[in-house]
Amino acid sequence: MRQIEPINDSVGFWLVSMILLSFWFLMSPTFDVFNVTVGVACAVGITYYWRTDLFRLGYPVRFTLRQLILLIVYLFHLVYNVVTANIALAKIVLRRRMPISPGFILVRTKLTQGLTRVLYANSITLTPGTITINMDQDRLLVHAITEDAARDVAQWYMQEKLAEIEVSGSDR
Amino acid sequence: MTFLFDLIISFLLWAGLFFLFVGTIGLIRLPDLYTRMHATSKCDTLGTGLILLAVILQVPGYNEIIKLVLLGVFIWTINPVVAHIMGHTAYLRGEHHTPSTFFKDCYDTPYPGKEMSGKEDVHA
Repeated sequence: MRQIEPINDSVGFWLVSMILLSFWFLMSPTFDVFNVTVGVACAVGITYYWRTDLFRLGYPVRFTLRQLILLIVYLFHLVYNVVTANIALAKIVLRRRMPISPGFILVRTKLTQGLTRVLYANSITLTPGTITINMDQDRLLVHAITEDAARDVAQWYMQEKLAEIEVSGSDR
Repeated sequence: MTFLFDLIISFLLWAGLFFLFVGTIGLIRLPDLYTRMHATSKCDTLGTGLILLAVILQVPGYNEIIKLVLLGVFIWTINPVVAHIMGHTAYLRGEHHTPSTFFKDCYDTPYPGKEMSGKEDVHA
């Protein structure tokens, strides 16, 4: 059994409780006594049970409006890429002789922040013929289903978009 | 107008079903775990997304729409993460892959994944 530290992070505790409670009210729109009581009890109880894994309010995340707009544009590009990826995969799977040439490829990203790296890795997973297997610092191990997909992932244009988001955030 | 609306909804439903179907076929036909993961992670994401979109266009009231949108957001974010965890675990355990699998490194390190996974001979 692991050692449970005493609660010393009351800000994080109430923040997590409030998030859980707002999610509860999003799910159950009525405000009668039973609902509110159960919601508050569950939110506080669950937060108390998981109190060793609370948020640490270390670095406040700041972003500019331009970054937000670029991120939304990026998400639309991502949806478009997901659709094309699925069509490509359907073409591969429904052939009689599947034209696959699977393999692992190691690529390096130029992204520096953790959040954009995670976003990039997840984007690789969702888009044409590639899945991120491992990420270590700036190296990504990617599994590709065809050799063309492996060639494309090294110079993928979505990385430029994420780099643009990073740069526009840092020059404030 | 309602006919057009129904047509759009049925198109979305059929497209979602088609992609889920393709994902399942890929799960059966593709040779090893890594290639199967391609089929499941991608096609399930788009298929469920399209079906959820069709349902969102039909339900009355904001409450249901909020719930369905949340469901879609969770699926779209958690699906690649779970695929990544499965692939990572399989890679660390040296899971079997098809003999024709190639290993390539765009840069200078000699063997892809050697120092990343701490495993000596995954590529052989």
